[in-house]
Order: sequence, then structure tokens, then C-alpha cells
Amino acid sequence: MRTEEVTIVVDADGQVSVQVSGVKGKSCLDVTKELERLLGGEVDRTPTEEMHQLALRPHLVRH
Amino acid sequence: MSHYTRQPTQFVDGECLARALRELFPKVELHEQPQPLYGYHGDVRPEKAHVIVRRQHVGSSSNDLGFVRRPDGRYELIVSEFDSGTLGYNASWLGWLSQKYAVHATQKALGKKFQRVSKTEKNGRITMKYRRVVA
Repeated sequence: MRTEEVTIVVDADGQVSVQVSGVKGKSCLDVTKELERLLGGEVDRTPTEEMHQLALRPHLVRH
Repeated sequence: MSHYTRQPTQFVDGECLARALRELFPKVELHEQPQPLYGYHGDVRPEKAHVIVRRQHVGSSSNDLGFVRRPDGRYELIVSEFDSGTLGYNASWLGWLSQKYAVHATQKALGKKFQRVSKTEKNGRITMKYRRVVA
């Protein structure tokens, strides 16, 4: 048995960062795939041995 | 007659967008097919939208406010110059709406597989924790 945890931080301007812990390997992608699709932003990934972090751009398209 | 202007966004889910708007407006319409927007005088306008806030809920002397789904799947804000300039439904407001949208998108994406164990707000920043136990 293990615990998987996802922490989502949403800034006031809608910028989102996602941190996933306890999920092994590529399963991390499955956990966050739908969220990334709904957020519609580009993703920066920072995978580490035990933790994966994602950062999503704000939803607003700035000109 | 106040002209409509358009502002692109990265919203891709009409349901999450409508839920976010309902935090501000008492009634929000969500349509599969785009419906006409109406102006201040009740005049039908050429602009159509999938997600609509009717003018009586936007403000006095307002026009309908809407979001139309573009071919690429992203929604575009359609708002009158009056409501954007006078009532502040502009780029800054879209930033606020983006935060609300993200909260609903998170719940939609993770809520079926994970349990939300906390949601806190501090200095305008919202933090949510989801957890599940797997074999």
C-alpha cells in the first residue's frame, strides 16, 4: 500500500503548478494528463526520483 | 450601441467555465450550439456564444457577455466595450476567472480518482491537496 498525493497551487492570475508525489515512473503522466488538458496550458516538467512537478502557464493569452 | 470586442483565452472546458462564472453571476447559460447575444436595448446582435451571461445579470445598462468556442477548442470572450471599460470585465478579470476555472478543472480531473483532503487560500493563492491509497 502506498499513498499518492497531488498538490495543486493556483495563483491569483490563474497560473497553476502541480506537484505529484508517491507515483512511480510514467504513471505520473496518467495522473495529470486530464488536468493538463482541461487547463489548456503548456507544461514544464521537473521530474525527480520520487516527485514530479509541473508548471502550467496562466490561462489568459496576453497580448 | 456599444460594440463587442473579443479576447482569446485558454479555457477549453465549457462546464468548468460555466461553474467558474456562477461564482460571480447568478445564472449562466451553457449551450452545445452557439446562441445569439443581445444588446442593451434587447436588440439581437450578430455575435453568438456557447457560454452566456445575460445582460440583466452583468449589470445595469449592460449587454450580454459570452464565450464562444473556437475551432481549436479554446474559448474566446465576447464582451461589449462598455462592460469591459466601465464594469471591468477585461484582461484583469479574466485572470481572476482563470483561478476559479482552474479550481473547477482540478476537481473535474482528479475528483473521481482522488479524494480532496484540503483546500486553503492565503494571499490570493489557492492550494488544494488530493490523495489516494493504492495497492
